[in-house]
Amino acid sequence: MPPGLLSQYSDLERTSYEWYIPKGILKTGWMNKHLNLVPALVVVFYELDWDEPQQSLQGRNTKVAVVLIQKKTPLPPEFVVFGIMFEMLGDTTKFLLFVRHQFKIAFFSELKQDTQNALKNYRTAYNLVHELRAHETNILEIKTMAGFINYKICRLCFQHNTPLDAIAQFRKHIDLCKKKIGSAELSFEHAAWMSKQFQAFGDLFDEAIKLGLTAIQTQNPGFYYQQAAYYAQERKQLAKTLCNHEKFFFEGTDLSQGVCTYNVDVKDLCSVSYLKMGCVLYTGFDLSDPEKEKVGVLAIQLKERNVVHSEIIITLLSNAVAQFKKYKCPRMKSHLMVQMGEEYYAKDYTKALKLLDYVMCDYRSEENNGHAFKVSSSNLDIFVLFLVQCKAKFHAPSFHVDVPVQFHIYLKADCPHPIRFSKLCISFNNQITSVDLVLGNESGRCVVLSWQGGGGDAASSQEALQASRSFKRRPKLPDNEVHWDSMIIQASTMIISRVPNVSVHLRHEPPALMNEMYCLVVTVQSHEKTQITDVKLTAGLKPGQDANLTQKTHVTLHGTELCDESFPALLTDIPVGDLHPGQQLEKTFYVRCGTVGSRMFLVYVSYLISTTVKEKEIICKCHKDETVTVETVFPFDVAVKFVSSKFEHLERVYADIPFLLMTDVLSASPWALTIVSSELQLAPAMTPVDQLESQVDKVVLQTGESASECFCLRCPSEGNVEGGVATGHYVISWKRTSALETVPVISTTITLPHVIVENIPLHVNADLPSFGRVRESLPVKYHLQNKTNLVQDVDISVEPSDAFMFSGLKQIRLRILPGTEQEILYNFYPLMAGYQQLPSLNIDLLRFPNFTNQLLRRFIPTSIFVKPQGRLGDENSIAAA
Amino acid sequence: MAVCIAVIAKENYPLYIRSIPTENELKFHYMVHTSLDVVDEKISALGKALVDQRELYLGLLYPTEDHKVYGYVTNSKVKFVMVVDSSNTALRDNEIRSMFRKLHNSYTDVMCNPFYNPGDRIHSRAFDSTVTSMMTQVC
Repeated sequence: MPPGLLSQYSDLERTSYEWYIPKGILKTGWMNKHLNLVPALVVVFYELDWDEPQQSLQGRNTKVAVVLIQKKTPLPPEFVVFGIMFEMLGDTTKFLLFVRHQFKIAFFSELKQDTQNALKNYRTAYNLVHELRAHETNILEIKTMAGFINYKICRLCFQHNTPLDAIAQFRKHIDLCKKKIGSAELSFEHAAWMSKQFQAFGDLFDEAIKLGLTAIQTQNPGFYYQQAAYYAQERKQLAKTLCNHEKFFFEGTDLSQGVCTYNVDVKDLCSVSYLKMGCVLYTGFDLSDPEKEKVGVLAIQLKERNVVHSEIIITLLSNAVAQFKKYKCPRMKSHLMVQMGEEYYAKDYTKALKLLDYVMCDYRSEENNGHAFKVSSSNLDIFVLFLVQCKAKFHAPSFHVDVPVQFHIYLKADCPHPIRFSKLCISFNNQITSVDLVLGNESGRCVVLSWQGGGGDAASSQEALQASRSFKRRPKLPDNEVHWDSMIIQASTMIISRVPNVSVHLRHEPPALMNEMYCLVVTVQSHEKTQITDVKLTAGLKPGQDANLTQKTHVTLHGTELCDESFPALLTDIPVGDLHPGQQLEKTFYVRCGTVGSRMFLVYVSYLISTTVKEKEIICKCHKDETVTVETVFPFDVAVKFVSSKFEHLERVYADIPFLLMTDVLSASPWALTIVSSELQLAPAMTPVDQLESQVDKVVLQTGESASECFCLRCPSEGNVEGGVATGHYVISWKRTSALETVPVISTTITLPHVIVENIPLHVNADLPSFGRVRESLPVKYHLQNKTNLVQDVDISVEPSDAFMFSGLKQIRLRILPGTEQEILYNFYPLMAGYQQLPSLNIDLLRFPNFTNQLLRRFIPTSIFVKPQGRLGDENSIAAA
Repeated sequence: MAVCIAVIAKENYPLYIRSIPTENELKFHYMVHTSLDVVDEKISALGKALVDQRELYLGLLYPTEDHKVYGYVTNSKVKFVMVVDSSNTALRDNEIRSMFRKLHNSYTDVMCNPFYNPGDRIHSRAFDSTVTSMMTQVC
């Protein structure tokens, strides 16, 4: 320790504030002194030579105490002196000391890590600072002090995890200091100071976030950086106007003496001794001397001139951008990037362009129908080329492959002098080609660039695009001038394939019938001037329709066999060879549609042709497609009904009693159908009564015609089946009458309806001739079958009829054993000719009261045709007929 | 007294924007545009709430040094943004709210005009005068 150090920093020189006039709030070196210079601990070593206790007290539990005795007065406890004797001082001085001591208490508390007390004292100090009377000479000092205390408070607030307090304090600080501009000539210093305040707070905030604080979209460090940047911009503006002297007139004066850095870095405050730098200027020179003060002001202004403002602004803005990006403010980010661009615009065009280009995309994406905030592209475009404006457009929104693409570039010189272009380079973002051209002429020239796009099919493969260019010097005619603002940039064009020159014709007979092999004849005729090669056909269901259609549609080239599930819905790229000019080819496709409904079929012809564009031969790929919508319908409707042997409609059939199944095939097709054959496939429960041969073989049905068949069937008793008994299937094999022999026959299977089978206790059938003759005996035999397992008592009666006389049992009671049959014979004797009612047979079953005569009438005839009594000679003629 | 009033379509392009002529128009355009960040965020947060509980008034979007930006969103996601001077302490939340309601009513009238295509820029004298009254009169 150097001798005298302690006394050098001793505060004990003055014990009273009497007659003390402070020169400011705080001495510049105070903090440095207490942080780095004043020893925090003094260790004094004394040599003790005796070793007695160790020897004699060994093994005993004795403690050793060393007592130091000092005879001088001890060091006074810190700060007890504060707060006394202020009354006798003047107001200003008193407040200066208040602030000073409050600050010192807070500072020491902080050093002792008593942050709560430190915060409290800093707050008091802060309030006291603003109670100081501000005037031009001390305003910088107050601001510096306030800024520093504010920084301390905010940092402690963040440390105590009370960010809202920090923000509130900062707002208060800004509101209080905003208007304290001070000297108008040095107003840029105020802007710099404000900028620094915001930046420092932003840094604090950011630091707190890194330590775990959560910020929100509307309250994040970005806003503070942004505001800092605004003040930095303001500083730049002010500096520009205030430091705009042609030349400082006092070159000879040594300015370095009195001026120190004005870039206040609050963070480093503790170590740098400029707390009173506001006064530096005024103390370095004599305060009372206005001349010298003027020189000082000029010196500061000179210093300000050397500051690179752009860098400060850009740093702050990029800080803000990073924050806004983090807190989901894309538009704010874009806005700031525009500002960064503007800042770069002053010196680094490449960076400016890059930034603005990036932002422009964002803004453009929000444009709609030309409505946009004025912030968007139109404003930014101006920056893109600063002296020469450039607009480019494709002549049309799309070009065919075989025509040259016209691309117009408009250049406009904004500067009053002619411009020499060294290079005009066009580059495309899809790397097709690039065109370089050199212009060495005056402004105002319109250059038309044209090049051909060979084979660059937008949809298919990318082929090399040869560029050729031609210069046309346009005379500067008024009608050639374009209105700059009305020009719309067309930045992209679509290269579309060459217009095909073939005709595709489809021949078919709609509608398609379900499941048939529907024939589509495609005729392709070439109208090209040269041979076309590699002609390929794609035909089938147009993609993009209902997925179910894809599974129920099958396409084949061979009509001789039926398609099944394995066939595709779309046949692609069937090579059909080359075509000479005018030649035509025909290809037949067969489509099988498994469901009804409308389908779109696509026929796509592609081919290659070589053409010459601008003396260059290129191979173009052309294609033509044709779509056709085909409706698929049922070829016929099949109606099935059950009738009794009397052709009466049956709701249900009776067990073991023959009935008739009638099928009726009604053609719904607009084209003639040939029914090749039909087949009745009976279910096991059904038995045929006679032969089941098809009765409609080779029948041709026109539209609306129908073909009927009738089968006699019997269903043995089978208990009571829920929902009826399956009947079987009816299979119709058919094809279009117009179809070729080779086209396969289609079989359509119709499931026959179920039928309800009912048991009846008694079956009655009658044996009688098909007709009677007046006054000739007509024998009628009724068979009564007991269908139950019970012995049945049957009451039979026959009611007389006017048309007949009869002999036989008029009323009888019978007993019929189970499963047996009784016969009753009657002899009817017709009295009248014509369609006559037979004497009605009434049967009552004692055990089955439900068995009514109504039911009975279904089985037995109720009337008969009676022929008149013929003359003898007629007998032969009738027989002959 | 508002210094700038803007109506912004659902797709975030402006339908109407007017600011006091004494200040840089571009500044207000930027201010309104950047405020959409907060509006978007608030709407997406509101989206989770029940429809009928939705409050149209979004409140203070963000404060700048000199201005306060307030937002309001209609049920059809058309946004109203109002910028007021920070120094104007006469305007409380309630006044802003009622101004927005007035603006909304006027906007509804514009929409009712059969000759107005939704999504077009608003050129309506009645709407203009409503906006003018809000920009001059001290509510």
